[in-house]
Amino acid sequence: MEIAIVEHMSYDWRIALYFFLGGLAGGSYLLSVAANYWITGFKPFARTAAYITPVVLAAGLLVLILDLGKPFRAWRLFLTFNAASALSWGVWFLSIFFAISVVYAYFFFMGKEDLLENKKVKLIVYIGIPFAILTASYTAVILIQAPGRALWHSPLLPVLFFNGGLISGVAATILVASIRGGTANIGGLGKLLSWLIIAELGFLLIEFIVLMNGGKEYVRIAKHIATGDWGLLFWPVEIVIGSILPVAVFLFFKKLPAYSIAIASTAALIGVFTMRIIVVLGGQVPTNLF
Amino acid sequence: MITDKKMTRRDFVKTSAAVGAGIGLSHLFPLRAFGQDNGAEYTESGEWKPTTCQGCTSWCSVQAYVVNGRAIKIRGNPNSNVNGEATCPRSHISLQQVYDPDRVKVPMKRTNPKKGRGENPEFVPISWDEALDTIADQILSLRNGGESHKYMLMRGRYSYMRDILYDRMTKIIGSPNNISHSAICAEAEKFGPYYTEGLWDYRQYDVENTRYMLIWGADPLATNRQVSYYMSVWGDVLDRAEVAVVDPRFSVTASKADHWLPILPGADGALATAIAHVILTEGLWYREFVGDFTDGVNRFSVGREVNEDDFEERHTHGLVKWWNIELKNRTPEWAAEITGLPQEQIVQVAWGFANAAPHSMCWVGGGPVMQIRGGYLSMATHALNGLVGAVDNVGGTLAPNKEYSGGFPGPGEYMDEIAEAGVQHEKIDQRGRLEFPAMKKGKPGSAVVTNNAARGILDEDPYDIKVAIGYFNNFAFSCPGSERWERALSKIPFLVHITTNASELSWFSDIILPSGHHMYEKWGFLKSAGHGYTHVTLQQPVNDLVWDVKTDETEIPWLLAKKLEEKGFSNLMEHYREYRDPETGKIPENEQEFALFALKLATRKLWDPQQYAGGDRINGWDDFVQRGVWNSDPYPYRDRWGAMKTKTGNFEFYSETLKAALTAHANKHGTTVDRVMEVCNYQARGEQAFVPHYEEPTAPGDKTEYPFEWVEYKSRLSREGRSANCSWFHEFHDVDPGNVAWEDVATINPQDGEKLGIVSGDTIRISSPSGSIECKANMWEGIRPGTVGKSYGNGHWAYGRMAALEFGKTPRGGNNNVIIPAEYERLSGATVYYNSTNVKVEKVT
Amino acid sequence: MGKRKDKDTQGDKKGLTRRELLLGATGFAVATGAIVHSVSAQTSNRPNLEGKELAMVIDLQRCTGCGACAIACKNENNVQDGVAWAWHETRTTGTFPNVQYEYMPTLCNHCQNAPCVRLCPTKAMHKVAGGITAHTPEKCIGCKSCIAACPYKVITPNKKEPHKFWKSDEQLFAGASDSPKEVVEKVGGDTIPLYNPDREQFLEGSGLRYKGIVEKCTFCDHRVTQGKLPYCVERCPTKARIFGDLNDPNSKVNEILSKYSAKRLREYLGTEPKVFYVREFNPATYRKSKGSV
Ligand SMILES: Nc1nc2c(c(=O)[nH]1)N[C@H]1C(S)=C(S)[C@@H](COP(=O)(O)OP(=O)(O)OC[C@H]3O[C@@H](n4cnc5c(=O)[nH]c(N)nc54)[C@H](O)[C@@H]3O)O[C@H]1N2
Ligand SMILES: Nc1nc2c(c(=O)[nH]1)N[C@H]1C(S)=C(S)[C@@H](COP(=O)(O)OP(=O)(O)OC[C@H]3O[C@@H](n4cnc5c(=O)[nH]c(N)nc54)[C@H](O)[C@@H]3O)O[C@H]1N2
Ligand code: SF4
Ligand code: SF4
Ligand code: SF4
Ligand code: SF4
Ligand code: SF4
Ligand SMILES: [Mo]
Repeated sequence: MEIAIVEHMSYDWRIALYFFLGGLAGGSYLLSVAANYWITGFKPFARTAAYITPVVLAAGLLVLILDLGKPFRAWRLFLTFNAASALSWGVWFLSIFFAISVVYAYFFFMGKEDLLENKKVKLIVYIGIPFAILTASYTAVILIQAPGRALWHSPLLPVLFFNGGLISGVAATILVASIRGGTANIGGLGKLLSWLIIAELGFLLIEFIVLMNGGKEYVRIAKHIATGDWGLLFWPVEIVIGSILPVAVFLFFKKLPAYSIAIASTAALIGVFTMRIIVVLGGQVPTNLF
Repeated sequence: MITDKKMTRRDFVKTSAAVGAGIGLSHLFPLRAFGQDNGAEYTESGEWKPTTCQGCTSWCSVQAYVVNGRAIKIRGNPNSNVNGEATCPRSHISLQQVYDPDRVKVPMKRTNPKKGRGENPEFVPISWDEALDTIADQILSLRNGGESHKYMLMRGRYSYMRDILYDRMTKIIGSPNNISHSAICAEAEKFGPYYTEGLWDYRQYDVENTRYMLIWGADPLATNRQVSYYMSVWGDVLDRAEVAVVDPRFSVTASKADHWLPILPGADGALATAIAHVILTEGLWYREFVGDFTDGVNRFSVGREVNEDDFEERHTHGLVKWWNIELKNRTPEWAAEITGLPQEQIVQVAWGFANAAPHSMCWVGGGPVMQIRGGYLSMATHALNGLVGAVDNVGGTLAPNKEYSGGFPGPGEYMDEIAEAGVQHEKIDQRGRLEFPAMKKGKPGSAVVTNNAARGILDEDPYDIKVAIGYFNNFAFSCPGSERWERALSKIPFLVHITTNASELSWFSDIILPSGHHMYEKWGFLKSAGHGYTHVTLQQPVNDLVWDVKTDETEIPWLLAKKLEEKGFSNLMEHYREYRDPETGKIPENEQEFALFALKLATRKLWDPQQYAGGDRINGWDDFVQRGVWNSDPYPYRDRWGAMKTKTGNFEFYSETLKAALTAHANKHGTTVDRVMEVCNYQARGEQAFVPHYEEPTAPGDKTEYPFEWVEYKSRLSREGRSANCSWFHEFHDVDPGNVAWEDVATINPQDGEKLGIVSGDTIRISSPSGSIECKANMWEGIRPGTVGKSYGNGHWAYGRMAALEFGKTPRGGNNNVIIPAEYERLSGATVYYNSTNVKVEKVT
Repeated sequence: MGKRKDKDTQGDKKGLTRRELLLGATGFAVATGAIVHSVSAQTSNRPNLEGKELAMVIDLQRCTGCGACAIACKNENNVQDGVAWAWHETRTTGTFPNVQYEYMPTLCNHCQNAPCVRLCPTKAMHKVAGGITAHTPEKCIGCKSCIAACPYKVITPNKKEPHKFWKSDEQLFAGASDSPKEVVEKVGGDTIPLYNPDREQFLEGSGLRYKGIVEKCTFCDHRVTQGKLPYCVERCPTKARIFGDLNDPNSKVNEILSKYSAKRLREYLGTEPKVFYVREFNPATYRKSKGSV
């Protein structure tokens, strides 16, 4: 006879993965657009990044739907709109962003990069920018909308998520590029990645300071992550592997073998994903009601 | 009855929803609209029908919500003056019992001749006819061989239809061996009240009028009796009364009390005598009841004997003797040492308790009395009620109110010479022997020694048991030293179990007869007292019977009698034919009629206006069935003052009643009372044996090997031993403070946990001289350091697929009775549960 | 559905217009959806609760922590093992021998400002007349956001098929005992032998839920709309649960709330719970003293 214990865990690793992929897509899109229109030095990466976006986004959507208790009712998300729900908005951000990212990638695919300079097309691509940003950060707002989960209740969360998105976007681009035969100036991207990671660490520090000085629930969760069970994931994986390692590699080594680039960028990706896991799952430690 | 009204309504809703509404958008319109419509003329689809709950000995009158012959909800019966609309959480679990898929639905017989814990009986279904035929043959062959006394009837939980099967059938067959479960229940709890105030019964506690409650080893908000009623008023009681709880474990009641006295197991006698000492030396006793010194000057002072003539008692007897023999040196300092309680707390409680006299009471549960030396603890704790005049008084302890249910026709003329000879034999439980005075109501050898029957069977002393029937009992699980029962039952050549579930006892049986559920599939009646009333409440077959089950106490004996008659022995059937319908005079023609007529007969004075004797005026049988319960007249306070059923008619601090009983027992064995004390494990010598007094606590298990003392208690959701196959029992197991949902845990104080290197969640092995069990550990501040606590109810290896981890093989958790050795409070014959053993605890790795 | 979008967006001009169409259509659907939704799900089907502000007071001094409310709730609402609409939290504090044990019954607080409703993307979780936080199974996609949003741990997901046990056809004793499935067939009921048909109202005509969606306390809307008290209130043996309308100045709940400073769970979150706790689980007295240094 099976034992059925009453429990109230809501979001699991799948949601964390979805958050991660959403961020990655936003990041890669922004990188690609920047590379394509503004930072000529990165131009060679525009195509790679452009491809990454829709693929990753599609994967994310798939994960999201598979996480639903009733996947075949997903269409309801489009039929009811709850203005109060970040989730409800997100569905539309995501869809629009996805559409645009596909169109954008489409031009590279057909080898019609020149058309990207076309006014109308450019407009569409630029419209994609805010949606990329929203897609990368609204997921944090979902969490913010859950009161009483101290870890989630921070105005910094969207920033953390967005920046994490950029990190993973850049890292993914580096990884793919390095695999498809190291392109020139990958080091430049590496530096960008490093500074983004350093920024992320800064935000994290602020986050912790806020928590440690908040109410008992805030302190509790901070301790839980820094010294509790999640510490085992936080310090070694998110901080050491996910942050320090890539920064060390990209900032302090001049000329790099391709594999180390691949490893470093993968490490950065792992770091960001771990951060999502810790936030989503760690953030759900039950608070007692007394 | 397969389809309910609601089915149709629902289909209607469904189909009509589909119509018109496109599949995709159907969710947007529809069902709500209908919900609204049938909402308008929505009415409850069932009706409330009365019956009685037996989830514990409160026996609350209840109503079942029945939808097309299917009971699905339970509530208290508003017609009852005892529990009213209140029912405890266990009441709902009965619903999971009756629809338990693992219930046996047709008779079964064993096909594996080998018996034992490790032997799968390989039961196969058989017809009622075959089953009864086999049983009848077995009984007749005993009778024909002049061995009718080798038949035994074991009774567990029961209704007051019991005597048809338990008494009449056993006697007419010709056996002395009707063994009830009473001694594994709470007989020692009746011992104290009987040998002080002549009451062999449970008390009612007048909590709504009390100002101070001193509760000894009872947890009335969770267990004990009238749980539903006491729960229902507790919130108000707390506004008026101070509550002190004496319990090594932080019980539910302790969690809602003013004082917790976490006494060392078994040390209650020291606390009780010390409180008495304080009451006397401080002159706090209740004079209207106890009397006073002739000159009003208190001569009770530490260590000083008092002249009996100086004190004039009113409704009590032997106060000064008690002081001189026992109390004079029982100071709080002395008690603090033994009880492990602070002296100030003892004094404070004594004052509080006595100051509230006479509206103060000692509530005595099994904790301090179902112990090796519990007889005198039962007296000592109850004697305090005498000192403060709580006995039979407002806000004190009351006897059950008078009720007028009757018995059944006597067996006398139906007992042939075989029977007459048979019943003369000594009983298998060896009651009455020197070491088993078992003195119910002052008569030596009159009380059952349930748990010792196992020894009688194993040793074939006085003789062997050849044919046995057990009903509503599970001695292989519910009796301490359960392993003895496993062997004893295996030894019985032919064993029958009348049961709902194939429980541990069934495992050793040759035939299992499926019984109707006591609450939903049975005609019967129960009496219980509380709230200043006694109610007599009916058990009724509120459910449509969908299985081939019969009623244990009536239908089955009738069917057996019929078989016996067919085979030439008609006495039993002739006797049963005397149970005529009191309304029509009709002679019962089948088992259903028999069950009904017997019930009407036994309760006639309650419902027949012609025979009205008191209490509720009920207008005939149908009216009774409608109401489901009869209530007595209100309680006549103080009627028993000076008219108690003791030798002196008074409340005896020096028990002439006990003296007579013990002397009679000693004489019967041509020896002295001192010798009786000795063989019964008591330390008292001389006069001390006749007064409530302190005895050193004792428990099996050498402290060096078994360092922890055992704290036994009942789980709040245990319907006696019968909840474990119900999911709600496990899902809500944590409503017992210290327990964990879906786990069987032992509570250990964190201090001890640290020493043992054990943390919450560890699997541990608890061992005693009689065996060992495995369960989970829970570190809990609510258990006294040096003790281990565990609630009873888990650890079934049979009963059902949820009760056992693997049916017939692995228990879920551990059964406390594996580690509690078979020990006795020998004066009452009661089995020992509390302070019953010392144990050792090891982490299982 | 992700796929369908791919097609639409790959074609440039044509695709765009088609997308416009689609968007337009969906927009319309959303609009109608919203309207029908509000009409159907909001208040209309609970007319007699219109204008009421239902609330429960739990008197902890009366409460004995027995669990009857939570068990009775499962009984009334056909709730399966592993899911709880009414639950409890317990706490043992102090060190032997100065120990305190407390029991707190919990259930959906029917928050006025309900985070579960706010976050629910499909409006399956919504407020209805009487201030009840209601859930429409049909609309629930099982995203579990409401569970994340609820600070009180009172919504449970149906990760597995509910009452699976009762669909099994394994017998303990072949031919002598019934399988769970047979029990239901013989006894009646629907899926479970204890099936309470009275619960069908407001749950899409079925008193049962199914795998994938979430469920929670409905304040017994099926009873209160009939003028009956919630079942947990009825079955609480100690009368510790008191139910009523906050908008009725003379209601019992208002009378009690006027006497004590009521606690609400995690009040600081601003959810405005409608379940109030009064008095202490243990109102113990103690001997007067100034203590000592
Ligand atoms: N360790 C420990 N042991 C205890 C106790 C304790 O607190 N701790 N409590 C003791 C007390 S107080 C008592 S009274 C005894 C009770 O012990 P018993 O009198 O043996 O009764 P139970 O064990 O409750 O259940 C008896 C059996 O009856 C069968 N049965 C269940 N329902 C029905 C029914 O409706 N009709 C019929 N005919 N049969 C049914 C089942 O086989 C069940 O196993 O247990 C005692 N045992
Ligand atoms: N929930 C529930 N209630 C029941 C039953 C049930 O099975 N479940 N069974 C019913 C039956 S058949 C009976 S006979 C009655 C029995 O009811 P009780 O006789 O009250 O027996 P218990 O409920 O076991 O309570 C015994 C208490 O004594 C405490 N205790 C243990 N050792 C000691 C000690 O050395 N000294 C003191 N002072 N206390 C000690 C235990 O912690 C426990 O709280 O309960 C009835 N009520
Ligand atoms: S107190 Fe005992 S008899 Fe009364 S309802 Fe609860 S379990 Fe049944
Ligand atoms: S039923 Fe009443 S007494 Fe029991 S736990 Fe619930 S609220 Fe408390
Ligand atoms: S208690 Fe939880 S589920 Fe209930 S209304 Fe509040 S937030 Fe929603
Ligand atoms: S699980 Fe259902 S009710 Fe909860 S938020 Fe998602 S859709 Fe709404
Ligand atoms: S109000 Fe109804 S649904 Fe809510 S907890 Fe009580 S019984 Fe359950
Ligand atoms: Mo008992």
